[in-house]
Amino acid sequence: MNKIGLLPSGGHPCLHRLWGLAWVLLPILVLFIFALELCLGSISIPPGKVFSILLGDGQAPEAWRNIILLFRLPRAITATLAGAALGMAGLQMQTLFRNPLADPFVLGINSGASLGVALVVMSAGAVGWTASVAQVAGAGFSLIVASSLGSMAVMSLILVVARKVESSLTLLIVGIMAGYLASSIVTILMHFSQEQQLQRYIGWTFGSFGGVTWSHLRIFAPAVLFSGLLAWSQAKAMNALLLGEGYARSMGLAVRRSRFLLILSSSVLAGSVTAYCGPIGFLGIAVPHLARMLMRTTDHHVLAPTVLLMGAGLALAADLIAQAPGTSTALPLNAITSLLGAPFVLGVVLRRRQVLEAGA
Amino acid sequence: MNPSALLELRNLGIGYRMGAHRDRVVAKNLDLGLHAGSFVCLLGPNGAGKSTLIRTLTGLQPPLEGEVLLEGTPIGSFKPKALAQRMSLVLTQRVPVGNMPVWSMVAMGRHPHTGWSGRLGHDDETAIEDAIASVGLEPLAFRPVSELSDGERQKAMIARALAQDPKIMILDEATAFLDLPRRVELMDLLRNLARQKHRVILLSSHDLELSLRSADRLWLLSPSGQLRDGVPEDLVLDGGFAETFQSCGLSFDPQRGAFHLDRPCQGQVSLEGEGVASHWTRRALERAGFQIGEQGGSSLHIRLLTSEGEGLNWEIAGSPSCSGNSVEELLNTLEAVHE
Repeated sequence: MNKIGLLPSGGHPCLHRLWGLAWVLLPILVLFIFALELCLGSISIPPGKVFSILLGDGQAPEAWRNIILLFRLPRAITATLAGAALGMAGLQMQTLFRNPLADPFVLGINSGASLGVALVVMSAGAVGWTASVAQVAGAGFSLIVASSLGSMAVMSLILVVARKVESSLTLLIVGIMAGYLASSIVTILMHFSQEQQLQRYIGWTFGSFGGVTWSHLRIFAPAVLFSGLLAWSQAKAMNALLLGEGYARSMGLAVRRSRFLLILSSSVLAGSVTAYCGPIGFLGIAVPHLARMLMRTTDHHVLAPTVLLMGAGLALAADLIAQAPGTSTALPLNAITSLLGAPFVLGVVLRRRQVLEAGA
Repeated sequence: MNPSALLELRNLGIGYRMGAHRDRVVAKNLDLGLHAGSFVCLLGPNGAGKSTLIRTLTGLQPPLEGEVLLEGTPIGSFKPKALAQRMSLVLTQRVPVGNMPVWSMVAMGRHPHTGWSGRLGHDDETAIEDAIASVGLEPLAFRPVSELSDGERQKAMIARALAQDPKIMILDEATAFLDLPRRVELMDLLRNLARQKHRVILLSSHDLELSLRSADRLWLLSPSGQLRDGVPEDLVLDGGFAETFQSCGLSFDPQRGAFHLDRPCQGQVSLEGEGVASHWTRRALERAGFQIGEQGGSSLHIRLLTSEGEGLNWEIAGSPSCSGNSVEELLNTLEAVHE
């Protein structure tokens, strides 16, 4: 039998060089944007000072120290984690449903969170207990609890259904219908609510990395890290699922178990981002496509770290632009991610048609 | 014959559970065995239950009664990974896999043999490269699967199933979308693969003539739920073939191993001639509905005057004697004579 003569991990030699380069450049790029995020903002602080403050310089002005350590640093960490989480969750959903249009929220996690927030915000006047909860716990905290509860409700519904049904398509339909249900209740709530409450709800839907404090990060960071690792550990299963559930099963994959783990980890990723940062669109659908195009592979062992890095980088960049450094205004984050990202992805996709066939 | 079969059907009943005590039985009392090194084709008319049988054999669907034994163990008691190390599958539908190269696709076949991380060892790489080589796709090893033709794509899927290093390979209408030369090539490949590595390869197919020629054994599944097993020629001779595919307007010609449409008889003619020209003239006459009988027994006698490789030259002996040099002219003349 003649040998084809291949490199150890079996890809094309050129690809290995590309991957090697990407593994060096992507982390550097993410670190660079992370540093920019710390240095730029509505109040200008010299970069040298920023770093000495980070290293524990007690001599710096108190205000600057507060800005860096209490606002910019948690914000940058949040953006990094959220971007990575959305990229990973998007990759998982696109592979599981073999649909290039899937995003982290196809299963209705987002709508569940919106419903939770809408219930708290808009029924605050009408229902006594939510108002008191809001007073006791502080407004920001109650929003996070509300959207977490909403996401978890939808997630548990999906997980229960996932254990019962054979076909992933059924699951998708359940998710989409749960989403419709939640958004129609939100619409009815909006119809009966006052202008001020509407404003607050809409403010939440804009999305922001700025509302997360160190104490929030104590829950948010482990949730993202743990479920991110769980997702990464499913790379082999995701590769098998690329050929569809029939083939995956014939290759020895315990399809239901893998599907359960994939949905669990992606729901926790997407749900915790939505809970702490609001519904951040676009990153979840775009990052996996960009990763596939950059790395020219469908191997999830390569794609998983790539989406983590690219998601983090893009989220940081979008937040940087949304803050409009040097001005005192801030733009809605959700608008920026789509406004800048959509034409870019459109351009790349139209130039390389086979991506559309890449069900995942 | 080897006494212990690799795959054994024991009093197997297949079908669907529609509810308590309401089963839709497709076939039952199936007792068969498959032995290593044989290429078997499963044939049967549409709706006879080929897919149900395949689904049951691969463990996707539980049997209604009896059991499927793989190396003596019921198929349902294998863990997914253990089953995948023994049995692999090729399906009909095209899988959109984007820009995945052939190599990576075939590498997926190593899934049940690699560990938790999916890391490929030296043995895995050897198995992948052997699989690519044995379907002859070496030159395309790094081409994206989406750029392959249907035939090459199906070969890649077969290579993936081979890389799984199974004892038994089941292909569900895997040749359905290919043109004739590709199908012939693929059937030949499958037969060789079965012989060389002592595997069982079971292919469900609609291609009767090709299966008759290529398969070591046939399984004929009739709509009545009967499964006949035998060497192709035996099944032709004992009438099993004709019975399985019995339907109105179609009959099996055991002489040629093919089906032909029953047409209203136009009349009887006799044909005299040799070689390829005679064979194709006969086909044309049959298609037009003429029965071909003995010389002298019919009113029209057609004589072919051509020797091998010269086209056609015919004449009709008889009262209005005429001649011509194409099949089309012959058919037109016969039609005119009839009216």
